[in-house]
Amino acid sequence: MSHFIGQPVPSLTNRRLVAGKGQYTSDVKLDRMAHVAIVRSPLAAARVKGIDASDAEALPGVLMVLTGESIREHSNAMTFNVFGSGIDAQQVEIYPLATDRVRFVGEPVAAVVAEDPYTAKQAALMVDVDYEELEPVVDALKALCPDSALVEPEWDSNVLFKTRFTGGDVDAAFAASEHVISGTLKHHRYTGTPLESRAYVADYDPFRDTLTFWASTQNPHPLRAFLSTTLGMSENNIRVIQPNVGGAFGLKIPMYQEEPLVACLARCLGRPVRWVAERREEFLTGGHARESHIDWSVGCDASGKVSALRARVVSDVGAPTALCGWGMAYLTAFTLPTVYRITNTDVELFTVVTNKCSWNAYRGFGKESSSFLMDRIMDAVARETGIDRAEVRLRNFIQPDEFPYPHNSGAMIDSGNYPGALKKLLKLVAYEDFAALKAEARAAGRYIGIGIGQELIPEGCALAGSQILGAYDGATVRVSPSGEVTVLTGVTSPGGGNETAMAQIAAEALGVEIAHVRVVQGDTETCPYGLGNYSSRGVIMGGSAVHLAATELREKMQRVAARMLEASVDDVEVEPGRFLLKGAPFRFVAFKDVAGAIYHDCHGTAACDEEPGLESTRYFRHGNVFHQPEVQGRYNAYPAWPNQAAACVVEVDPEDGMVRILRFVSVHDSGVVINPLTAEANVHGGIAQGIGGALYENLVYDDDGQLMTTTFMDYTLPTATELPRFEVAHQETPSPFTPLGTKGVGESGVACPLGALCAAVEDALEDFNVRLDALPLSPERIWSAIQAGQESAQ
Amino acid sequence: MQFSQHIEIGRGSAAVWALLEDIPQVVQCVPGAELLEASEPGIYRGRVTSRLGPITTTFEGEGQLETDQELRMGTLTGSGKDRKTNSRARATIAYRLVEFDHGTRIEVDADIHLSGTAAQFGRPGLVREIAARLMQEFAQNVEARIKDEAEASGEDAQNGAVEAPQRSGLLIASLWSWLLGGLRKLLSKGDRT
Repeated sequence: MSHFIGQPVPSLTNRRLVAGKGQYTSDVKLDRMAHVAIVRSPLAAARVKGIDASDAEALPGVLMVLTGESIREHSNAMTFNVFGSGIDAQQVEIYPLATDRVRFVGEPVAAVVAEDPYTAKQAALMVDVDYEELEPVVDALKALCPDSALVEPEWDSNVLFKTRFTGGDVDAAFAASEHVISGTLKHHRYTGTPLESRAYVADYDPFRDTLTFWASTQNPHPLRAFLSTTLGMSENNIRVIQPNVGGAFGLKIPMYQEEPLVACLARCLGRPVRWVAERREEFLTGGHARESHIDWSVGCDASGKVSALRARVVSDVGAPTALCGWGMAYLTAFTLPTVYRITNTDVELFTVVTNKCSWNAYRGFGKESSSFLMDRIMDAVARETGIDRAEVRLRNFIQPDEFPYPHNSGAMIDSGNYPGALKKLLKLVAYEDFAALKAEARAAGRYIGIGIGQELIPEGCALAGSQILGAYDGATVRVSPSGEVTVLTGVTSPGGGNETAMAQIAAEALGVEIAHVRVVQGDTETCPYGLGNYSSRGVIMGGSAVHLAATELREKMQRVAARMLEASVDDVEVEPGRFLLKGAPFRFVAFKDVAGAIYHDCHGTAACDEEPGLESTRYFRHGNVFHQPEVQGRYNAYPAWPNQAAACVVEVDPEDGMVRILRFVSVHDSGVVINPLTAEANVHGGIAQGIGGALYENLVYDDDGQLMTTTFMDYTLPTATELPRFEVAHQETPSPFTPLGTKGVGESGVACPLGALCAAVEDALEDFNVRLDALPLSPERIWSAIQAGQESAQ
Repeated sequence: MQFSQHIEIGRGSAAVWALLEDIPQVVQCVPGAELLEASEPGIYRGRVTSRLGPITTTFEGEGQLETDQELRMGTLTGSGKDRKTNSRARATIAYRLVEFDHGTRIEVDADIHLSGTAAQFGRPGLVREIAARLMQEFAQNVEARIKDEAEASGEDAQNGAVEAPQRSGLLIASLWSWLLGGLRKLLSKGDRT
């Protein structure tokens, strides 16, 4: 029986964070701490001809100015391809400051350190940079043309990498299809916006040659490794500390130019330095995502069964970078055709660089684009064949008895019950009754519609040889002599609450109350080596490691308890706080007494056969990863495959194109849920970000590569007034590959709104023959689609 | 950002052209502009201060003017930077004079490239609107100046100097016009193009 797993335990950090007592990186205050301001390129593409920092250096209070001209004296090139041998891409050298060329607006060209942040900022404006403007590349499709300017002059094209996943007999399947449908889908550029902007504090001790680096990061250990390589410092002389993080969404995965830059400045000065990004700097350089152009076609029969898929994905990943974001494009291609059993597939991917902000990981990591595409395809199939949209999906799903299911890309889906989730959803949203509701609203002059979204968001990313993306992690569990438990994990929390789940898992495995468990994360000096948080791996990898380590300790304690109870170990049961004899509930020993016996009486009868001490470090490695294609026949980078079915009901005003969401209902399946409260909170956040992307958020560049949306006035986020109450239900299809059946929930919810909203708006505006193949669904786009729909109908 | 605009001046093209050939006078007619140096013929260093939404920019730079007396047309190409906001501007402004019944029309084709902070805060709609207002003021100033020159004697030329343009009024007028034009856009979230 579970005491803690599956319980809605309120997040352990709630009280502290709500009271404003969290400690974030920008709260770190050190003696003699100096402040950094960064001089950024105002141009998208230019040669740096010279930098005159003399005015800035002369300003009282300025301690130093570091420019791209001298950065090579202080820093090596940054690690460029964090995907190891998993993805074969073109190479480029990136330094913490642009050396001779700038490649996007906002790229750092110099840094100023001053006694206070205001002086630093003032001095940064006094650094005079002489640029020779170059022709910027701002459109990925044009960037593919042979006569395009090049973002990297040493490359032969603007393609960072390309790949193709094929399988079956696509030509024959298309030839045999009764219907062939084609289309285009444009996903626009947007990103996550953590409330806490990036911040770094670096403290270098020249006498010990040690660096302490506080960072709003997701991955302390990998960041330590990257800093070590870039700064040419010994890895074990660097300590990375991750204080509280106020949201990350993938965007705090290293390595930004500012990370080694701030460390570099501290080392040059021999004084602690601090840099906190302004919001505008975040928009300009904090990582973008999504922008893709997809041409697709499918072949299906009259029953709506799809037999063949062709897709050509062109992703605009911005400037080459040491960040991992461009890998998102790979995932869009890799996950197709998502939850559907389509065996003849040909998916081609072009990852194209432009003179725009580089992509960094953003919740969804490219998987939202493939789910969005498949939703649009299923709706098109339904329209073409005249079969209901939900029915078309049900006819094409991979069936529950077909798992583990292989896709042509190499993907191996662990488990799932897609028809189960969709049927549950249809019931919850009263799908069958909707037609009547819609007719009633229409009679009253209102335009309402419903749309379905179906997402597959694989988690636990692992690429062979990658220093950061691996399907394993470690945990140390310690029981003190007084029976208190400390859990140290290699995974970290971006603010989403996985520490609570860790405490639940440890409490369950050991048999203690959650109140006696303390979880420590985010410090390379104290925590076991681990890869931090991304790809929802906290509970999948970290939670499983905690389970293994805690279970090992519990087994040891159970053996000692059996000696203390003078019973066979098989007869000893565990309850929170005690070990008791089966069938004799009054014969028990307290958990703390067993711990005491092991620590204080290691030569006594109960504990003499056991190794003293109660500490275990265990690493969990996920079994559903294939990194030896020559032996295993496939390359599968994703072990865990949570999924969700969602329905959205909207009302649209055809006069002005405004959309109002009336209901958003989802059935979510991330395997076994450790904490429904925090899991649901994650799903809520994902759905909100999905809705933001579908309706409001848009990063707009002009033809010169200037970002036009650098404030929250221009980049609009959904707020409580735009969002409906989310109705989230769970379905639990356990993963067969993790000890607790978990799959990860951190990115769930972000994809469904894209397709569901398009479909709901189309459904609401059925009278106007509206077709939507691009986001965001701004009033202007919807209004234009109404005009276009009416023209095509005439 | 490219746009075309025209202004009308109730004076004959010969008088207008004569004034346009006199760069120090032209600069005095442009609200917020200052001529810093004119060492070589056709090459000028200057400074233009204007407000772009929430920020004030002072672009300092160099421009080159080429004119065609016969066709009464000219092209000003220039670039400047504003160190206070880390912004840059590059512009090509072509103009020609067309005489009509009541005076002269100056037709202007402008190609302006803003970068850095000015580009991020100066939305194309706002920049166009400000440019239109600036040109209207410029037209009024030119008209007043020619009138003064024609009617007054030489010693009155000083008095003919146009009053300092009221840039705050200009800004409010531009913003208001832009707001009205884009009211629907502003109210509709997600519309950024």
